Amino acid sequence: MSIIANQKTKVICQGILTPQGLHHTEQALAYGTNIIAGIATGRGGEEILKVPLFNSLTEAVFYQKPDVSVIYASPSQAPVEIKAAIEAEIPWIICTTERIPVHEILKIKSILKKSKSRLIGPAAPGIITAGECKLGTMPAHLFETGSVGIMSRSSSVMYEALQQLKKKGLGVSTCVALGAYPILGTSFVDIMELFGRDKKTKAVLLIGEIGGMFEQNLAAYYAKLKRRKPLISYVAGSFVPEKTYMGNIGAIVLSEEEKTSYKNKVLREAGSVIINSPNRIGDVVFKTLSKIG
Amino acid sequence: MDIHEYQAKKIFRHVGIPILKGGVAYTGAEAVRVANKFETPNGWVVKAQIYTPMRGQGFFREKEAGSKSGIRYAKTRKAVQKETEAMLGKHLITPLTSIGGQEVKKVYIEEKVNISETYALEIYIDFSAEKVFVTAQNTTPGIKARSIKQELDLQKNLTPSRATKIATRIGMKRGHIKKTAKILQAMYEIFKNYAAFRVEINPLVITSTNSLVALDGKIVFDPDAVGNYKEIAEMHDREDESLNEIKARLNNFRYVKLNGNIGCITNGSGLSMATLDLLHAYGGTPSCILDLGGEPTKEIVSNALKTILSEPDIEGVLINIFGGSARCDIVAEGLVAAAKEISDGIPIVVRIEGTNDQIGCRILFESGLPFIVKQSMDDAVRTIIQSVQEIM
Repeated sequence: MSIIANQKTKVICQGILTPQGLHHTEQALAYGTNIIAGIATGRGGEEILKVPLFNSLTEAVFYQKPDVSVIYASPSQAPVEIKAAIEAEIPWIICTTERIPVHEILKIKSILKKSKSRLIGPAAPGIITAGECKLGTMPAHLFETGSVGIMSRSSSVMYEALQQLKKKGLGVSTCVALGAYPILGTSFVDIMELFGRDKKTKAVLLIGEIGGMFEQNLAAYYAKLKRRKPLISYVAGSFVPEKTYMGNIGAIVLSEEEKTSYKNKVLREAGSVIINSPNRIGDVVFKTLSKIG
Repeated sequence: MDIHEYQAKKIFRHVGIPILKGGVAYTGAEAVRVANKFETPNGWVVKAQIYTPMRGQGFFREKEAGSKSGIRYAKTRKAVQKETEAMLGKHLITPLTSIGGQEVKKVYIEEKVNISETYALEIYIDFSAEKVFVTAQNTTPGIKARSIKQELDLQKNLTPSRATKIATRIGMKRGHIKKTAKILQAMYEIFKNYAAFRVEINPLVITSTNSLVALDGKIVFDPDAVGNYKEIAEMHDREDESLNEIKARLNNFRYVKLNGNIGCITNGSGLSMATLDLLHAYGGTPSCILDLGGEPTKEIVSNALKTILSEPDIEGVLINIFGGSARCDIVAEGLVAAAKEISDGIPIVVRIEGTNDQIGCRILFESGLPFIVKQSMDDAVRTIIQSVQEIM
């Protein structure tokens, strides 16, 4: 078991012939990901890396019935690709593209609400189910199989966490990097809900950061759960000066509520274990898991 | 991305939003030339052009600038020159600037008007709600504030009838309702056409001679969208950019200046924040943080280290790289290349872990350069703090 994707999940790729698309498709295939189609206009009927190519998304969806589409596209093309995937009713859409204008994502969010699709991203490093499936740009060799589910806004701290877990002999079920972006298709709440139902996941590690209300919304949801798995949280950015952009437009403190201290406070009150310092991730997860046996 | 008031007003004028006569000046003499361009019965206003709002509530760091705020009245041309010269080159501190304030490099000279009523209009993205809102408010002192907030649909226009209703609801003076509705529509046109984060007019005023004008305005653009609008992208001036910020922009890495003594190089915005967290937890103070981004080349890494070493207040360098997409061997090659050119005894602690870390460490060892190589983030952070303390 796992969430969103496993080795059987049928994956297609929009933008398979872009440099990033090709590179990560190759890596994903090597990891065992079940990639069953790529979209490449004018090259339908051909194969690349033994993956059949289709002229259009509609055609690929009709013949292959995918569960997931991974999008590698430019910031101007990506909104078009996302909208096409929503129209084709693909259940999960993963958009890796960074720097899409916010207006485009707002429009997509309003379409999503009335659709059957769910979007991870934009600017999402993606999802890895350890030992089974790689969707997006994360290097799969860092992920050891185990029982910790990770959801993160940042991929770099996720890698750091994976390394600390590995040193403690711990591995992961599914890891979801939602994206470094102020408006996200899928939130921590959605992922927590999935982890809650997943037999393989025994505890959930949340890696948050300053800016936005994502962690606060999760705290509100988690506080109300009756039966729940342990939640361990690290929120990065306690010492970032206010109103300073740390690389992405989502990670900025504009109000008191967007600070790490406030996020930690509401998460703690909701019942989450709080990690204050990033060198303690491995230790704290290990201790929490030992308690539940 | 911010632009100045005078630039926002240029855009306002273009879409038919009424503004006062005015012009920008970089020197006192220039300010007088601008003032000479138009007749005004009430004198002029000299307004500091910085990106931070609340200039009227601000004060200057330097005594020579006088005790007045960033918005000053001048009755004569001579006073225009005097106030301009008093503010230029000085640092304006407002409730929203950093402690040191922001240097004023230009001023906007505008005709002075007498105000009888004030309003505030704003169209903006609420990131938490993931929605677009329009707000309008009657802010005239002594009037019980009437305000309105409505959601807007990006797929649709703001219709004249809806805009008229908004203007009516806030108690806009008769005879100005249609004009206000047009202003709201024009604001939404700017907001949509340039994919902006925020378009604001505050205050929108009715003058004592009964004309409606946008007295101050602010437009904030999406840094990821302005690339599509060259005329807008060029508006953001880089006059405040430091040499290292310029180097960062040219090399495609991100650079944030802080005020301690340890220079940090990391990859990924999350890891940058985590590195700051850990440094502070152990009592260290970062001088700056430089984020190499996803897949840095050898040149980028090398330029990054050289940039950090050029910081005057640097006493130690911490390199905290986790090789996800980044390759540790390439990072190591870049570090060696830079350190070979510059070696002034500053301790450099390197933590490279992840993809190709063993090859990377070997490159560092075999270089014979005095890198202090550590195996974990925790170890590296403690070591750099210790090394810096030993020097002092």
